[in-house]
Amino acid sequence: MIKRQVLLYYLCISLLLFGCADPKILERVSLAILVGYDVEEEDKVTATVALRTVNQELQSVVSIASQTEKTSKGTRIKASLDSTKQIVAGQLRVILLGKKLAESGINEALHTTKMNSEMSSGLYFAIVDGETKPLIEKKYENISDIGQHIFYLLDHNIEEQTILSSTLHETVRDSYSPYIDMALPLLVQDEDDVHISGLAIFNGDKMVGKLVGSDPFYVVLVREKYNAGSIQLSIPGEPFKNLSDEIPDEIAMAIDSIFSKRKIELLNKDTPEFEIDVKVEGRILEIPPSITTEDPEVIKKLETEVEKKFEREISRIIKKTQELNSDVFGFGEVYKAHVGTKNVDKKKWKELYPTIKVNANVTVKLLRNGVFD
Amino acid sequence: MFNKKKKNNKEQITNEQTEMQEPTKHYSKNELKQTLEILSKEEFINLIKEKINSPSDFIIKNVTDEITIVYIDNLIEVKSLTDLTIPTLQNISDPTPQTIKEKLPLAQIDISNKLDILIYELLEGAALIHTKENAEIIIAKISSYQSRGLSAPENESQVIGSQVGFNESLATNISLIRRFVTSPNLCNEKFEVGEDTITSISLIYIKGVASEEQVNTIRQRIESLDVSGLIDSAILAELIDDSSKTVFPQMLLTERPDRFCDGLLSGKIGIMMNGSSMGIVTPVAFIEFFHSKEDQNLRWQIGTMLRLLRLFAMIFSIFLTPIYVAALTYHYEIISQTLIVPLSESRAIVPFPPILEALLLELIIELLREAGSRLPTKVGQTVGIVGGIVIGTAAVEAGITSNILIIFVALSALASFTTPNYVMANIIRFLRFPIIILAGIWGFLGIMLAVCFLLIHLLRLTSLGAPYLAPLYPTRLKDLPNSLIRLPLSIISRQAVNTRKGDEESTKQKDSKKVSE
Repeated sequence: MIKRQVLLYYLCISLLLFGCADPKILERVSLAILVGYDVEEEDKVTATVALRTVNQELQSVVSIASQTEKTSKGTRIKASLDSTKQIVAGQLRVILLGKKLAESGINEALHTTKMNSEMSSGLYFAIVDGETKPLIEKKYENISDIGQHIFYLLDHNIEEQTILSSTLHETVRDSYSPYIDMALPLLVQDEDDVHISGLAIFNGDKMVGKLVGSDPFYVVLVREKYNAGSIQLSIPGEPFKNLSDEIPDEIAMAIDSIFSKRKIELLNKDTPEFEIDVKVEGRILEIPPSITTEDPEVIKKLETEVEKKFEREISRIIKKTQELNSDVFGFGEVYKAHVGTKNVDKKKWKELYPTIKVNANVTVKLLRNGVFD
Repeated sequence: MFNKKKKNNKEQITNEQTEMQEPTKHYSKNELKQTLEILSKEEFINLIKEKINSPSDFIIKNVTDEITIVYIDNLIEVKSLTDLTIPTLQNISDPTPQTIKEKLPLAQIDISNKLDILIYELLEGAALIHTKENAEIIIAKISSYQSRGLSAPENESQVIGSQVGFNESLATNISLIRRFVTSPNLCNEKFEVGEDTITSISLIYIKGVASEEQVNTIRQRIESLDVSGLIDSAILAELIDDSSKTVFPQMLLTERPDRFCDGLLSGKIGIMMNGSSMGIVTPVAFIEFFHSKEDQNLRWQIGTMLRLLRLFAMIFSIFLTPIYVAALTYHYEIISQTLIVPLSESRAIVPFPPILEALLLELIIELLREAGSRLPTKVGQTVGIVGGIVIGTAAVEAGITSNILIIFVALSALASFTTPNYVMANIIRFLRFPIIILAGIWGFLGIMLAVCFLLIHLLRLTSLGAPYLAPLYPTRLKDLPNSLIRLPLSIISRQAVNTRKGDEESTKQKDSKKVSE
């Protein structure tokens, strides 16, 4: 009994001797929200940070700090010299990488980020078509906080599945796997705005190209399931000419509430040949009024045309990625699952990928067509 | 183990008492244990006077030459003395104790020649009737006990359900209990505790429902009590509970007869004490302190919702301020982006670190509560206004605290008041302080340390040998429908497993089942 009490006292005293943890009191630190990395000459990296600090007038202000150093931690130390408050990275939401840096390889940036225990695994990566420094430093008329703006820009687009999700967790997962390549959101700086232009696609850790326009839609269609996607597309007007004289050559239509399921199967190990089965259900949102959607025959025709369009587009994008040797769809994962890791390594898959044959097979079902019928 | 502790306790108390008292006239029970011989009137009066230190309210009445009545003023009912006793006595021709006992129109009359009994009864409010040339004295119990009428329970009020509460008279309380439980199996064992107060204690349980083992334990604990005085049942509960080191009460104090009887029906043991309006119910589990009798009077869906609400309020109340302190001091990472701007803006000009800020505000709230509860109602309202509006607003404007913390502290104080049991509500408010300090020193690590400590402590506690955290751990599936939630009455088992009968009986039942198979 006495022994136990003595032990307890020792425990208490030793706990007190641990001392306090290193406090980072919220209003006494500068929170980095957005970081952009650009490559400079002589292996140096320029880091541009959007910082949020609270000033004595009770206002939270955003300031920008930029430093060039050999390591990213080095840039942080240097930036601290300019700052009145300690700079901490725990609230970091987005890391932007300049195009030049992405083309020379992003492994180092990924590595330093995931090494830092402060960082959330939910922060987003994005590539800037150009340099990050001018994008972050510019004073936009309608954007008061560039960090928050870019975070929300990426966040809601990822939520709506217009682009692939690029959290630290997922990006690191893709970068580790030899059988799939990364595809990160691509941002573009405009006159007075920042917007997403598409996906930057990678071969290994190096950016090799980009998919713009409606291309990201098809990448998501093959890689993931849609819960509520939407797309605007144009199909040839030729099959509908009999309906009315006003039918244009190209029918522009929009489909939303898209639910999709996809299945990739390996048909032949040797060639190798794949088959993609995609089932799409959706609702017609917009279509020229001359096309009578009340008629089931017309709907059937529309469905076939949309299927053809989807198949064409998917094949085209796959061909493009094969030219760039960037397997963003993850055919390698399927292949590996069939032949085993022993028979295919990264190098071999990189040699195989440009030669694979893919048959896209899309079934489209247009469930509803608006509120009126 | 238990006995030893209690004895030490007793010795301490008695030692203190003797030191305080003057050493001269103090009679122990043994000294008074003498049998009276035939005494003359004067001798008897002098003896009694001497033994009770001749108080000024000691009254001697000579009825006839042969009959004398002595009593203590104010303790007896004067009406039955003047209207019933004295006229009857005057008309008795042959005054022997037996005839007087037969003829007196009173309900309770005893005859004794034991001095200690006589003194005790005299002090309880009996009139002693001395007759010439008889050693035996008649004890006419005509005590008048001043007690307030039955009123609604103030501390455990409820909307639906009986509106009667216990009062300070043991007799009234027991009659209340007997009105609820008419079963002949309702046992009422009487004890007298306290050398000076000689307080009556009733041990109440339903035979066949309550566990014999637990009844024996509690009986033994009460019998081995050796204190000079007991004033309230709260003190009694502390003296006879399992562990006196912990802050958590292991016996439930209630002023509601319906709750008391509900406990009896589910196999718990009740203790009532004369002079106290609180009954003790034991054994109880931790969860039961968050139950109100009203949960059972409402529909089960609403009852469940209320119970879950209280449980949530308890956790909320303990951990909200510590989480604020930990998050703002160490873990700014977990604050969501939408909250970080208003949080840091409201903290911007506060000169203290979050831990001091939180402790200061919690202290202010506790001061307000304490001031409000000790003052008369009218002044109490003023305190509320001064505290809530003036101090609250001024503190924020002066930049001593942040707006958001004021909301948090007020919310957690409010949440702590949802606990139906006053004792437990106090503990929940008290628990917050060490956890805030730990959160201020080690952040979430400190909070986890406190949680672990609390859990281990609660797991080790027992109430009359029954596990305190039951039915959560050890898991008693049968009791779960009436613990965190309240399911329909058809599902709830009447007897709590905590109070189930000893292992002997259950093994016997098993054996008999085996035989029958």
